[in-house]
Amino acid sequence: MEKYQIKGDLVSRQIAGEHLLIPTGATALQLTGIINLSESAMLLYNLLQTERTEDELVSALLDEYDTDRETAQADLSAFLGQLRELGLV
Amino acid sequence: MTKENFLRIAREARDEGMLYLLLTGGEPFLWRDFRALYEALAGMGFVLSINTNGSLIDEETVSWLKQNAPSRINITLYGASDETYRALCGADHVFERVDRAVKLLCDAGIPVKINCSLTPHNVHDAPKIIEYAKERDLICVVNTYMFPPVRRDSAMTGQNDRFSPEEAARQQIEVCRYQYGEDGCREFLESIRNGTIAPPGLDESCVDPIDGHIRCRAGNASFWVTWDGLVTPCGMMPAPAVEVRDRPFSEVWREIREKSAALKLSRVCTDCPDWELCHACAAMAIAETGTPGGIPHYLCETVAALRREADRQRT
Repeated sequence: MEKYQIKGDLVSRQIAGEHLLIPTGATALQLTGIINLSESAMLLYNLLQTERTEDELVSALLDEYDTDRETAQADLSAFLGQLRELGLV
Repeated sequence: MTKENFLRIAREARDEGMLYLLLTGGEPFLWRDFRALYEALAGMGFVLSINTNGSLIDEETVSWLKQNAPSRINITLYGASDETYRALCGADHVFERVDRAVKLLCDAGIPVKINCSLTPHNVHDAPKIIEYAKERDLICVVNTYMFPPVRRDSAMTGQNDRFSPEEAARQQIEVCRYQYGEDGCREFLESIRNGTIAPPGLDESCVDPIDGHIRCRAGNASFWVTWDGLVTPCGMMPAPAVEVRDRPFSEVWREIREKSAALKLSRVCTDCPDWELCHACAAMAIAETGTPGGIPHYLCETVAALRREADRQRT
């Protein structure tokens, strides 16, 4: 089963209630700007510090939020797609 | 201030929520501990940018910068030829070096912005500087207003080796013409005649028109740390200033916010019909008159000249 993990140098910060990822190191050259994460995206980001399968990530969303599997799966796919686009996974 | 002093303040400011950090000088690349300081700051999660004259940035510097790329490098151009640099800075082959730095940074994918302050000594290079930035597709900000250097010497209040108000006004219009062409300039002249132009480099009004208190970022969402350990509300303000070297940053920040909130411009300025052409701020009032409540006559004269010039160029 395919596994995912965050790659690249990012510093995660919480400022005024916002979850932010600041590119640093060589990643700052590839990515300019700041990434603003929602609460659930932050949960996924933290989990993705180590290798995870999609099933593990969906289960984490279902444990934390009052949502159905289909929605959680769709949200996860969207998030992974964005990370892939940015070269961060 | 030592590197350790700056890093301690940076750590505490990060805990208070600081996100954007601009490193400037003097010339930051001349500072002995600059690289060690920068590397430590880069790992702390700031959006870093650097103000520099670019003359010390070579291949090796760029390859070092690429390891922790800043979000932007702002390069001040003093001219567009070695001759202008020699006359202004007294050094040879400087433009050649700066030009090379710009190329190396652009090739490395590090965003570059060009800043330029026009004075009677480099104004002849203005079209070339603007063209230089255009050719490279770089943002270029050209200032025709020069602050009196009160941060260095309070005896310089209201004085500088700069344009007369008439010449500053004329050059402000010329710069617009170089940057935005005849159509852009025509719009600018029309705005002057209508009594409203955008504040330079800002997306906000500097002062509350009702009570005269400042409402820009200075001492509200931004602060400045000086080489000798003072915190001020903005880089152009020598006062209010609070010692930070031996005090917790959170305490100093609270104090500078209170002092900034108390700053008030003259009613003569806030009630002035030319207010939206002038956009005088507290930093300008302090630099021109020594106090935020003073009337910066140099700016009044510049605005009057701007109106006259806009009328003259109508035909």
